[in-house]
Amino acid sequence: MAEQEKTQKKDHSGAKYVIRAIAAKAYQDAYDAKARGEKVGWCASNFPQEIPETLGLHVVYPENQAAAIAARGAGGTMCEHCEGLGFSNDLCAYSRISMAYADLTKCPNGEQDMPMPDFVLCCDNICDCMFKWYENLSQKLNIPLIMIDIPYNDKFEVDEKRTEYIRAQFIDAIKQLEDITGKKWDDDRFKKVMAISQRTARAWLKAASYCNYVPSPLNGFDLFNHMAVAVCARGKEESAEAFEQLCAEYEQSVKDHKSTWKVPEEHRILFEGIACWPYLRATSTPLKEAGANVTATVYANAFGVLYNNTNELMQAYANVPNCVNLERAVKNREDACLDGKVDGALIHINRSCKLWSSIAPEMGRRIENDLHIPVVMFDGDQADPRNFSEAQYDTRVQGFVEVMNNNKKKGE
Amino acid sequence: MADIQKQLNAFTEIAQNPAKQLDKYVDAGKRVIGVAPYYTPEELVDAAGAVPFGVWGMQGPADEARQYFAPFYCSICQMSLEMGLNHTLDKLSGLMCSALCDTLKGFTQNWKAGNGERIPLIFVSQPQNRFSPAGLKYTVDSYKEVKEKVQECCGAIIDDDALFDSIRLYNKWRKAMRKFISLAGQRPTVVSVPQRSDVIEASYFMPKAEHLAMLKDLNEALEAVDPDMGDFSPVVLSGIYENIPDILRMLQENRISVVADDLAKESRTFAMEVSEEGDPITALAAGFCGMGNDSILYDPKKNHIHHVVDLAKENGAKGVIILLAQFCDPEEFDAPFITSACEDAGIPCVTIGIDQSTETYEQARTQFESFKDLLK
Ligand code: SF4
Repeated sequence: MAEQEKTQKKDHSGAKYVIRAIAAKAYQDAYDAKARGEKVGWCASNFPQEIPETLGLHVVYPENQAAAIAARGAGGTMCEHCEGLGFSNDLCAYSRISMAYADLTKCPNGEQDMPMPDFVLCCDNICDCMFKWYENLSQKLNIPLIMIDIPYNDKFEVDEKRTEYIRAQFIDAIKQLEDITGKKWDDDRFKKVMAISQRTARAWLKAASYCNYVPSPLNGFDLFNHMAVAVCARGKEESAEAFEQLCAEYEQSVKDHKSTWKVPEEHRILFEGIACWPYLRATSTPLKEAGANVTATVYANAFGVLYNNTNELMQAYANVPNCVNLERAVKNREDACLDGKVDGALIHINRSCKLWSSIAPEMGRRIENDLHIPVVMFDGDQADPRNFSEAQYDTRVQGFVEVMNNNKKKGE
Repeated sequence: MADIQKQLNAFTEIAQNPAKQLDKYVDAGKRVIGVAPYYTPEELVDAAGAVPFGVWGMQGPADEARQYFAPFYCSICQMSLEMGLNHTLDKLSGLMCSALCDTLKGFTQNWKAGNGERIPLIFVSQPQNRFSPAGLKYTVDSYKEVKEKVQECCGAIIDDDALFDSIRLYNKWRKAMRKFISLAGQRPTVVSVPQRSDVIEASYFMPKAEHLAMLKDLNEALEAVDPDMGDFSPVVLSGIYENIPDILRMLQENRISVVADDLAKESRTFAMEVSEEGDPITALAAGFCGMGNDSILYDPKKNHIHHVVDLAKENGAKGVIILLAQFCDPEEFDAPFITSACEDAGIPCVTIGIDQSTETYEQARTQFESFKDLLK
């Protein structure tokens, strides 16, 4: 990790740097827009980005902010502040960090500040926690809340009633945003945003697919860092270009037999769940020491949202992880495992994400049965540092690696 | 008065023996459909000639459910799954369940994985944007699917007339429940907190027509008795449910009378109104879409908070007790707002954590005692 950072500091033209800069620029752009007197928003990561992008609105993403705050060490302080306001420590740590930020309007040490919003955009396709959190932001800050509700889908496919319901809410959301911000919807611009989003999605899918090479030209953890741009900034031309650049770099690495994964690739694994941002090093180091590279995550395919028309666009938002039924959730993982040619799966039982973690054990059993690979779970949290034990993690990873080693020996 | 106690005992007998009830109806050749939270169109089950049977977990530890849920999930979902896995519910012909919170979503999937082959899931999809025509349309389409699934599980065809009969029955029953809540709250010297809870609980384990018949008699008898608060303090309960024996006992010991409640299992459910005209499925859908003042339902203006304060004011309550179901996100997001709204209104408020798997409630005992002092 440190090595990669050094390289990036030396050469700021690498795709990694460009992608990081896109994320950073979104915050600055929002500050600038606010300074110009424009209305800016806070937006749920899986809210259809096509809407604010088409309207030319500047929005920032509390989930990304919370991840950044947690990765930079202030997750605990912010969570505790929120608990001091009376909220239970049982709630999702992203939501606690965000509600704390809404109260404080700044981070303890500038970990990741962002402008205060004039409206909030919510989509509950990833969880219902989301709309409660945004209700609270809207109440606390006394600003309008726009919500696109995408009900959890118990079926494998997205049906007509869902598509229609989402479409009607798209239209409502646009109307409300026009009223709030004074910006006007433009169908041509929308088409362009959709086209750019497709280009970005294709490039993201392709970039992620380089994990399928043996050995992989990338450290799978890198994808966690790029994901935010793939999800939130899909509609921006510079994102498409950055991911295309990333593809070119990976391609070159394959040709040159190079990788951002710096040790021999002894094992290839699925890492399931959101990263433990406060413990990126603690979670990645034992894997690195064991030569276990992450070559599969559900994000790879899940966030490469492809659509050919607006119907499929609506459906895509109903197919994000956490909105799909168990069978589809398992299939998404198993496909990723097969593509990534994995030897095992490591599942994060994320204390913050009730929905995800609620089906993870059964998902793990199915993956184990269907693919005959070891599946190991560990307890952690995406942002609250108090919910992770390094000792437990190390022991679990040790056991996991042992089984993979044995399997490898048997296979030889 | 002796007569009222006899009536109350009859409710208690049913409330405390759900398994006996289940056997009774199955032995009588009825199909029984489990009804899990929240606000599902249970009228369909009634109209299919089947018996709805509330599945809201049970007191006890989760054991087999641990294979599916880590410990940080609410006990309603943990224990309902447990009851499926340990075969307590094998006689059910289906389980109807909504997906109105994240834990319920996981629950539905785990139910299908662990129990689905024995007890099919009747998945009820409801919208959160309930105020728009699109939300209503979505509910109608979804309830049509629910109707088919109910028919399949009950081996019956539901016709519109039968459905309207059930709608009328449920409207009457909900009205009678609202009346009971108010009558009982003003007569704590006659109806104790555990008895009040049993009257409500019994309705989950029998056809509504039977419950309504008993309830009407009880309400009449209660009406004949003058309101008497005795030394009881009027209080509003807020939360999902209250029926934890220790908690009910403590409420009673502390001479608390529940003059109104904001509990999902109680008054939030009884608040629904369904039109008795037009298309019955649309009526049921509109009934759901018209619901509000609830932590579980999207509430952009957070009316729920003010509703609790209003309930307290309108019913002359001296305090609000939030019975916070442990690990319940929707409630946990609202609780601090309710607490501060009560503070602003000068109404004492306390939050007491509850869970079906908690063994002792010593902390709650102390909380109740100090809260009781605030009510004087
Ligand atoms: S609303 Fe709360 S108590 Fe009810 S099922 Fe969901 S998490 Fe559990």
